[in-house]
Amino acid sequence: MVLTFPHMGQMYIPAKAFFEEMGIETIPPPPVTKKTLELGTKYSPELVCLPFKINLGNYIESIEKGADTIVITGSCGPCRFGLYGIVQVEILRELGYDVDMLILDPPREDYPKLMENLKKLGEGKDFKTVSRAARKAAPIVIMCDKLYELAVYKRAREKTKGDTDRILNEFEAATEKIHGADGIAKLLKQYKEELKQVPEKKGYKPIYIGLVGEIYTLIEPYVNLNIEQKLGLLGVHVDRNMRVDWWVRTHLLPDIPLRIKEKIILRRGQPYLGMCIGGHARQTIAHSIDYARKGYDGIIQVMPFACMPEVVAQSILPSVSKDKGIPIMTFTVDELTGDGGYNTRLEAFVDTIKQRKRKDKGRKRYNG
Amino acid sequence: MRIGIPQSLLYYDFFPYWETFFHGLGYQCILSGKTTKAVLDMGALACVQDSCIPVKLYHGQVLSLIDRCDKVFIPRFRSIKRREFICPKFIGLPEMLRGAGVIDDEKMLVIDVDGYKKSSERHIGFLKYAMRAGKSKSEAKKVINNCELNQLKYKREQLRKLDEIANSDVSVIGIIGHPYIVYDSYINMELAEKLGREGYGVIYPENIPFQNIDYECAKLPKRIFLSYGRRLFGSGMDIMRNCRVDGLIFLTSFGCGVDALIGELLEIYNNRYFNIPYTTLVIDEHTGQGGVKTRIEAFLDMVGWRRINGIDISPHGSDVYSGKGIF
Repeated sequence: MVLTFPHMGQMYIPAKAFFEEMGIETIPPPPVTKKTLELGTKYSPELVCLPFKINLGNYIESIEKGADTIVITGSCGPCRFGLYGIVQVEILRELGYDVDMLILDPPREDYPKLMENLKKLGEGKDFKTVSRAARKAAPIVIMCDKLYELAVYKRAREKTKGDTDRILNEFEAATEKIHGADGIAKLLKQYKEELKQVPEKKGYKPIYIGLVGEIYTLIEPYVNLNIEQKLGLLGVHVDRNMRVDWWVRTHLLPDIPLRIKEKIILRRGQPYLGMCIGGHARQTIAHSIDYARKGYDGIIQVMPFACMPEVVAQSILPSVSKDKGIPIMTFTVDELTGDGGYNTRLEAFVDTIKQRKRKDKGRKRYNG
Repeated sequence: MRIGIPQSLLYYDFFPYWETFFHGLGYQCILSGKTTKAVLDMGALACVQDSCIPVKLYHGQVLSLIDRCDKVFIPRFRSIKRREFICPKFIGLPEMLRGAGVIDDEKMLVIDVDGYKKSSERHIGFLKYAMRAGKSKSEAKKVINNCELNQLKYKREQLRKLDEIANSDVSVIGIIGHPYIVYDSYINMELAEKLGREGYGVIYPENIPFQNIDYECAKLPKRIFLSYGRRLFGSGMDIMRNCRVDGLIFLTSFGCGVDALIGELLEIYNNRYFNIPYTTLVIDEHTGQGGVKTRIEAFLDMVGWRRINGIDISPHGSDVYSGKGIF
């Protein structure tokens, strides 16, 4: 069994560490490029959302490198993400690839099936090995996200434009050659130190923009056309509400303080959208309100075209914007890759925010 | 009190229930009327652009109703069956309408339909509303029972149509699609009438018995958790497997999330196992009929030729149409 999984931002680093610790042969898909998107778009249904197409491209590329089993998480919420697995495996079979797809659904859905899939995944490894691997991989998720958080902070304030991205690129290239969790952890520490040394502009106060929206498009940089980097280079401090470590800590780990914090934030969104409607529409609304409370200067919603839950959020956001007095812009991404129009819109948005900030100086600012 | 009911979305599935319910409370029902271009345009302007056409139409229907009635009935469908959902847009519909500035809170009559934990709990919203409207508990229950009976009667009538069509000797085309597209003759550009004029009978997903749908869905490696996705997939597979039709049209609206995946599955399985004439029609706000007409004519030609020229004796060990081996 040679395992592969779809890309989702930096998720491949901890996932690779986990499977390597367990001793399972893994082929992480090559980085998402235009070719991945083209492959995905060619074989996917036309009207499906962008994550489906990128995932399919990932699978095809890693199958050609030798993978024969795909592992993905499933869901049974109202979002159509839960149906991805069954359609993708049929498309792959139609293309002549003989692959096995392991869909890990939540336990309350079909417990025996989940255990069967996990057993297949574990290849007869005993519980001790698995738990050791999990214990080693879990800190990497958090460390990895800390590194990228620091990068966002530094990018907005760096003295020479491009320093941060150079270090990140070096880090990403280095992870490919490293084997095992310990090596990756060491690498993460080393590059974090290096990132800390990046010189900052003195006395520069960046503007703060919050990113909300659909989880995959927020986390995968190729899909959102590197929105974080683009805004960072414009001198904007970006914060996004969806991170891999946030997901792991609220769903898999018993991190109670964070869960309580999340509940409080969700409760604030109650007047606008009181219930879970699938996907992360509820979080989009609630975190927009949270950013407004923290004194952020603007919010950008990112979503794939025809995303079912985010369309609802999109139609509610104007009233949030009106009530809280914060500019909100919606970005819909699809398989078009020309980023000219995209850059113009971002620059215009940042400019308006800067002008607005100059106008009303007395507003409460976010500090730390 | 006059209650306005927009004739869109799940109206086509549940109107006997709703009508009986409001009449039982002594209210008057006002329907928004058939879809027209003016209504659709109004909705398309009010709604967010990325939404699908039925939701845009719903916005238009609510706008056209708003001056004619005291309250507009907007059901919040979360789930109509245990552990199944409906499209997320239905769950957030009242919020969407409010956010778009179409209607105020006071004018909305929102009733939750949530049978996720238990199918029978889907009546609770209606029961509570009836009690708030001044009925005693037993009276309210009687009203709900009546609603259920009328709903069942309607469903049975739909099922009976399958036998009628099977016993007659017209050739049949299956139209697979959500009820709010296949029954609204304005947005599907009178598809059923066009087929009828050419001498074809039509069957819909609602005509297929539930147990057949469940049987087909159980063959998939994973449960389909969307009620309408389930109905479309199950009925499509059942129609193809039992050779109930001469051709199948998959009718979907642009931007429909469920159909994108279900349509793909049906197409793959049709190519692999059944090989009956199959086409997908995608509709949007476009009103030119030319393209649709041409495609339907071409499709019917294909169906007709196959009926005349198709020979049902295959070469040894291979399929009639694809020529591939079947053993």
